[in-house]
Amino acid sequence: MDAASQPNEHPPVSRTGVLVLIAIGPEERHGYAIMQEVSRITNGATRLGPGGVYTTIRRLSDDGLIEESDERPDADQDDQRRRYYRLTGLGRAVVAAEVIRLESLVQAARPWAHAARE
Amino acid sequence: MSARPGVGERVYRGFLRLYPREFRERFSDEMVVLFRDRLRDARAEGLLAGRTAAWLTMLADVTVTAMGEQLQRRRTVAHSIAATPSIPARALGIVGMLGGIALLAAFVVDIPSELNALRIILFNLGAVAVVIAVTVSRRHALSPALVVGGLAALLANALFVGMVLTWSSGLPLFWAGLAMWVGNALFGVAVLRIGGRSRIGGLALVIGGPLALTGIDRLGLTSPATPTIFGPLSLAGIALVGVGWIVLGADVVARRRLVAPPDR
Repeated sequence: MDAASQPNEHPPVSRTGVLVLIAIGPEERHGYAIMQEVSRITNGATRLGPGGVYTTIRRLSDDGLIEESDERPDADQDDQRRRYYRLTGLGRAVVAAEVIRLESLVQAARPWAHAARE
Repeated sequence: MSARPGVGERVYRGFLRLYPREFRERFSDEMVVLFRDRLRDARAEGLLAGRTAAWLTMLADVTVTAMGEQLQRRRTVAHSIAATPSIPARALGIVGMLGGIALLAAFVVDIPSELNALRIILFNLGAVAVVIAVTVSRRHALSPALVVGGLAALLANALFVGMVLTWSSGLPLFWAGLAMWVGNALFGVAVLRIGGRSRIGGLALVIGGPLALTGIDRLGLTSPATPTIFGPLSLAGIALVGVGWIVLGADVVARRRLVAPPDR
């Protein structure tokens, strides 16, 4: 692994990029499924359009964080123009690093944030 | 599953022309499928608001992300950038921007009637300046469309200046006005193919020109006595044309040559 292929050395991923990585998760998903999943995991706070989804997919793909999957449903159950995407090893590592970062942020804020809510 | 594409898909595919060619070649088919699915689900919900929202969010999405991709392409692909324009070309671009601003000025401030002719002349000269600047900057790769569109816009705007300077009215002014808006739209069609910000300016001219001409009195589509939808549409068209020339002028002024793609 060269420097850019280490999750900690990787250029920062945008917030939308992180959401798309998390939305793809351990599955293989096409663009519309990614869009719906982003909306679901953010409770509708983030709704991407086709342009938002595919410009993010382009960046993540160019950065080696996701790749196109060969596996797809039967032809009669699917539109052949669709492509399915999955995380690469580096993509999973970046998500893991992001989760750790967010956990430490939550940990730092939790004591006083809880008090502020009460 | 290769059903004939619906109207929504065809319209959306048209909007995808705003993205850089390489992005379109890579993702346009998938994006059309995604938009089709989005419309299908909105229809299934049965709410007009859902379908309207799908179209409106699509428009906002295309505007923002196509612009972002065009800018990204300009930063990273050296061959997409034409030669650095000369100082005279930049001056022409500035005149073009001023012309567009002059056209838009009437929407913002009350222009005294005695200055109106000057405003129109400045607008026409601005358009002529941008046509010359764009055509000269692409002289090594002139397309037939740019020659035809450029000539149409050049002659039509110059003709209108002549009309204003000679205080013409009636049928000659009508035909000159018609030619001006059509000429601007034809130039818009020609620059759509150039890409980058030019494409945004071209699109504004393509949409704005035909809308603006609906406001010509002699066509009878608008009347102060009986307001119609063409009144606001023609104003929107005029504003779009102004924006179009400003964008095209700014593109001429701001264009840079990249010596090498920067690191991402």
